[in-house]
Amino acid sequence: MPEGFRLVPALQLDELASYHQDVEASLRLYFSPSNPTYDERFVGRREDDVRQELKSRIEESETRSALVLLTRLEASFKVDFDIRCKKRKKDPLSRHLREVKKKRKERVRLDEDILEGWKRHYPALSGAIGELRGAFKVRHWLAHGRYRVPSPNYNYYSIRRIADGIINEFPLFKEGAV
Amino acid sequence: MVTGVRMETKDFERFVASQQGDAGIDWAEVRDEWLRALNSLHGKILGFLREYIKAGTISYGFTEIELNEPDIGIYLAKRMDIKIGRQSVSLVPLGTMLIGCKGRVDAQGPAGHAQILLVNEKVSRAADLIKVTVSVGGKVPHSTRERKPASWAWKILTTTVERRFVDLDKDSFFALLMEIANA
Repeated sequence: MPEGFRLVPALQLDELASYHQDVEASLRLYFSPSNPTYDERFVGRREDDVRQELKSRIEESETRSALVLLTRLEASFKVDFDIRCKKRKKDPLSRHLREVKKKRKERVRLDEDILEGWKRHYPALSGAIGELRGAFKVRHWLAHGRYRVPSPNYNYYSIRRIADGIINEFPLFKEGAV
Repeated sequence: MVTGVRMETKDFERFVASQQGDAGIDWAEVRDEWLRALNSLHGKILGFLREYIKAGTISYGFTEIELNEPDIGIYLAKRMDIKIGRQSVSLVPLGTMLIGCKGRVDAQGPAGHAQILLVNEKVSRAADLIKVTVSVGGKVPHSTRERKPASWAWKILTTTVERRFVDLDKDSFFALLMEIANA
């Protein structure tokens, strides 16, 4: 009987970055002669092939980390949305989002409803919202099986920079906020 | 931080020293040793096939192919093609600058391929290549990786989960041929 996923608290962005660094360092060690099982794992292979395989593993790891970062960002906006609606905050964005919820009920969309509301009420952040929208296209590409050609404008590091900017600049309410 | 800088310099010195290890190696000799081992493999296989070649049911030929390896450079090595009626199997040399072995030849047939590796004659599975270093009283002995085995032997690497090295003999080679020739 499978145990299923254990509910662990969602990692914060800096913890996700540390996790990613640990995974990359582990991969580099595993694909190096310092790994005691290096000869067993790669017997008969050229060192150059092994380096290529490492590169491919790191790229895959970056892709996965980028997806987790983007889903974390998406969750941050949805948690903020819920708090603004439930706690009946009085600022213009919260009032706007409550109107959206009243109109669309359970069909509130991240891009057209939530991010559009942010853009309207925080025009100074519209540049960051534009970047985030572009990054979310990558999130959809990743989450839907990567069957089309990805945008060349994004990688793990650019998404990490966008995520850091959003978390630092946006007045997002977090879980437990009054 | 002064101590930190010293540590980094030591690390750098170790790195520079580790890159000097290959300076005394005669790469032409490494190449020739591998080509001799390749010839001995061909000789062994011709021995297995002798009666069929004599009877005319199996034929063979050699073609020189170009290999390019780090440190050694470009050189020629022989590919052996074995013809069994309408089926054809090639033994393609991959090179000697490889991980965990001294040479590799890929047996390629219409139904698959297999690796024949020149490895320490004492190993019987890939897990035997795992290196364990035990430090006694803080002193780390020289890595076993540096130690050369007493003798090398051609073995077939199985594709099973355990990845065993099967001694190359008449029976194992015939089994390999039938597998990759779709017999």
